[in-house]
Amino acid sequence: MNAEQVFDLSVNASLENLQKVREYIDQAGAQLGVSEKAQGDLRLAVDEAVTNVIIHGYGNDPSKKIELHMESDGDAVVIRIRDRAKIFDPGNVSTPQLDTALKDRPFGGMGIFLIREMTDEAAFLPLPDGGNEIRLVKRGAILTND
Amino acid sequence: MFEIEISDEGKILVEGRLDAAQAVKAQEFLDRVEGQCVLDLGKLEYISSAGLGVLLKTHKRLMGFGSGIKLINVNHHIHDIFRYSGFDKLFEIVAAGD
Repeated sequence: MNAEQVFDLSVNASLENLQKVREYIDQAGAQLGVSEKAQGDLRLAVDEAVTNVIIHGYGNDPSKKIELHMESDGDAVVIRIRDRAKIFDPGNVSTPQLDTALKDRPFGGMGIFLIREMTDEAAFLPLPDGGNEIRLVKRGAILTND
Repeated sequence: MFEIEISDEGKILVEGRLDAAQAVKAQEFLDRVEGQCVLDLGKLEYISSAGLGVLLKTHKRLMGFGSGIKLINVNHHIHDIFRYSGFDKLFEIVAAGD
């Protein structure tokens, strides 16, 4: 593990790039010494966040860009996902009720819930000059020799 | 990579990664299924909320006809996601190795 390592990726806002994003998380995670369990959680959280940006933020416009940044902070992993889409307010997204009967369970609405489940911190921040930053923190993600 | 097909035994084999990019392909296939539906997820490597939505929509449709989806050969990681999502209360799930 190298505390100085940072990893950046820029992708066009296309669902076809989700696999590329997941591979970036896996490769950066391997370099940082992220545990297999944390790697799986981060892969899903970032996939959900990027999917939301592509579909809801950019309306599936592949000419738009999404920037990802991943680094370590002690034994934590911090990931920042930036877009230039309209301001996103997660407060407008209802939390799924997991004990709801099948007939009343909606098909969507799981993405933000899973992002929060898979991480210790998930902040949705408007950027000063427009766009959004999603900041994800996963503590205890990096294996240590202690 | 994502593939979905019917096996010789009538089970539906799901292989690869079921994300938002593949959800339409999965939904179009499952929309044609009628009656009891057994999904073998032994080779499913990954699923996101888009894939969960496909399973939920199909399960609800089939339950309307008195059947539904049974999920078999579910590996540990996929099972965790089902549990986080509350799917373990909605679907009959058989873990890999059971």
